[in-house]
Amino acid sequence: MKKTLTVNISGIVFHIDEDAYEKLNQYLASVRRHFTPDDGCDEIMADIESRIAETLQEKISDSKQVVSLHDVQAVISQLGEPDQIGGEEEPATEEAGKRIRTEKTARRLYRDPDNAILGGVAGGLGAYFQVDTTWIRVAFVLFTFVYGFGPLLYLILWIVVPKARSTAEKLEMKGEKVTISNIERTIREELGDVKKNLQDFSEEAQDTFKKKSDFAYQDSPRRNFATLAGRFFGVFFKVVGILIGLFLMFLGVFLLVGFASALLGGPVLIDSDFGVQLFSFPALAEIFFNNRTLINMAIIGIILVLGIPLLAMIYAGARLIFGFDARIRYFGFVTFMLWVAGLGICLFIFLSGARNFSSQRSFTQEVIIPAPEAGRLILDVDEQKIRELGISPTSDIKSGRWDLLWMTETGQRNGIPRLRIRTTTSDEIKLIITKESRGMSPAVAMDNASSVAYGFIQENNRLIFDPFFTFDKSDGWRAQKVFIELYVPENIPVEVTDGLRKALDVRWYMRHEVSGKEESSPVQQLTMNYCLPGDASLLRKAFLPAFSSKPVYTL
Amino acid sequence: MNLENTKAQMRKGVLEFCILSLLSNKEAYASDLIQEMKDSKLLVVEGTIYPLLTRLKNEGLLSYRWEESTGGPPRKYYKVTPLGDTFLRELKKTWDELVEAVAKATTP
Repeated sequence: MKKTLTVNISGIVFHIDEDAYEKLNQYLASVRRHFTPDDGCDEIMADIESRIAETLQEKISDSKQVVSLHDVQAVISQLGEPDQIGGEEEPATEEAGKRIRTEKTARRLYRDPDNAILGGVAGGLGAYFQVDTTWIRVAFVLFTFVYGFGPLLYLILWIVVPKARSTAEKLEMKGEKVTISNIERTIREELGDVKKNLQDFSEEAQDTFKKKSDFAYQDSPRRNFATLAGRFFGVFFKVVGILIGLFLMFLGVFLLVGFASALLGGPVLIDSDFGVQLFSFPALAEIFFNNRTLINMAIIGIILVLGIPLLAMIYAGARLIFGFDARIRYFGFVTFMLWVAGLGICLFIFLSGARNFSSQRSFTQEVIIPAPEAGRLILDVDEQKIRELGISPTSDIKSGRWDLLWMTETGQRNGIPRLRIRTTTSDEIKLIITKESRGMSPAVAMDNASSVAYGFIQENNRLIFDPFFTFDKSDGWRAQKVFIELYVPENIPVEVTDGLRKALDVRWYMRHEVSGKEESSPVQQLTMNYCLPGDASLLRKAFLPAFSSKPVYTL
Repeated sequence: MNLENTKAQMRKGVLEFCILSLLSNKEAYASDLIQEMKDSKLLVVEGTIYPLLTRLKNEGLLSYRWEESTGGPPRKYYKVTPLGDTFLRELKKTWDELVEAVAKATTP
């Protein structure tokens, strides 16, 4: 059983199968597209429809009342495909046959199979821009040196730009010379379409209107307005479309180049006054994974998840500007599935990355330091080690350098320790150093924590701390931390140098601070003992000593 | 340039001439013309004739009148206008010259 439709072709009624109707409809539409209003499109279409009616009439009888798909196909092969109809009859214009119109539609971007070394992309671009193909090829080769941008672009164009297969497409590819009159004609033709649609609409509206009330309808002013509006909007949308297309293409290509350089670019991340200059995704991935396969998977996942939308953006922009259609079957579907796959990979990678942080372990070392014989205890930082990393010791390291993890020239990653200075009632200076890390299992976490290296030197009454704790580059970042707790007897004054303050995360608790040079400020400065709210919670409870913690003011 | 293409180009040139010649003898509608030209293999696909007829009509070489048909859609009967006659005579002259020239050129 099949559904049939009733159609009126040139005044004759036919019963026609649904599939046959679709086919016929498509055929008529494609033939119509081949003619312009100048050719007398409507008249030609009417003639052709009348011929179709005649032919179909011969095919039906009392025993076979319905037009089938087969009949329609027969009629179409008899009448010819639009290419044959429009292509075989190429009208020469009346003016002495000198000016020959070779092409009706605007030039389109195709790949040129007759002028191809690889995929014909350069040939097609050359035909489109009317430039010698050699120059296009040279440009592609030159662009190879810009992050390999040339081959990438070539590949994209190869995929999305359709090949010129038929003669009509090859003509379309070469198009006409772009001249003012051609542009004007193209716009006029397009306006003609818009005008016609609007007229159809206004006629329909008139009919409805007349049926509802017997209002004498004066059509001309309204129709003129519709035409004018149509003209305006036609041009407006065309211009806006091209602008949007340009914007999308530029943005897409720009982001794609940045994206490609981030994925394939240098090994480190460079921080500067202007922000991040070079971002390397592999370098970032290395701090989370020690497995090369996982890093590669992460790169593939990111390429799919970010790259596909960017390519889609460029493609949409190019379509708006050049008006081509890739016409690849399931193109959209396959692309979408690839994107989903990329998302899946990213999720998997994220979860395996998170697993590396599932356990936490720490261990503590205690050092007793002999009290200075006289005067104050000076806490300083080893500035030489700061310079070794290429950082100026006068800069505020602890809050300004977030790129220490990437600075692996020494084969090690760096972190900033926390120093807490507290008073104690005992008469020994005690240093408690706690190293902490995470890992995918308690054993790995412990391993990571114990491979963290940190040290300090004592010179007379001076304690010189390392500015960073270090761990192996291959260990990756597993939230390694170093806490230093310094307990100083109440009767020993402490001076913290500016360098140390800028390098380490230092805080004082229950302590009067002595700062500045000995000569210039012999007077002990009155400082408020402070303990920032919430700060204590940053330290793990186990490492908070049992000391008398009443805030007091001391001189 | 393939053979089919060349053939199509040659047919295209004489199609217009043939239509005018056929219509100068008698009035006819498109399907008659199609029939005659299909027999002489001038027309590969029928659709080609419609744009051609419309253009000749628009250029004033042809005119037509409507005629009702029994059972089928109304038909456009075309005939050659006086202007078309003049045009045809010119074409005929050129054609004869061409035939002669081609015969000379192609016989060894």
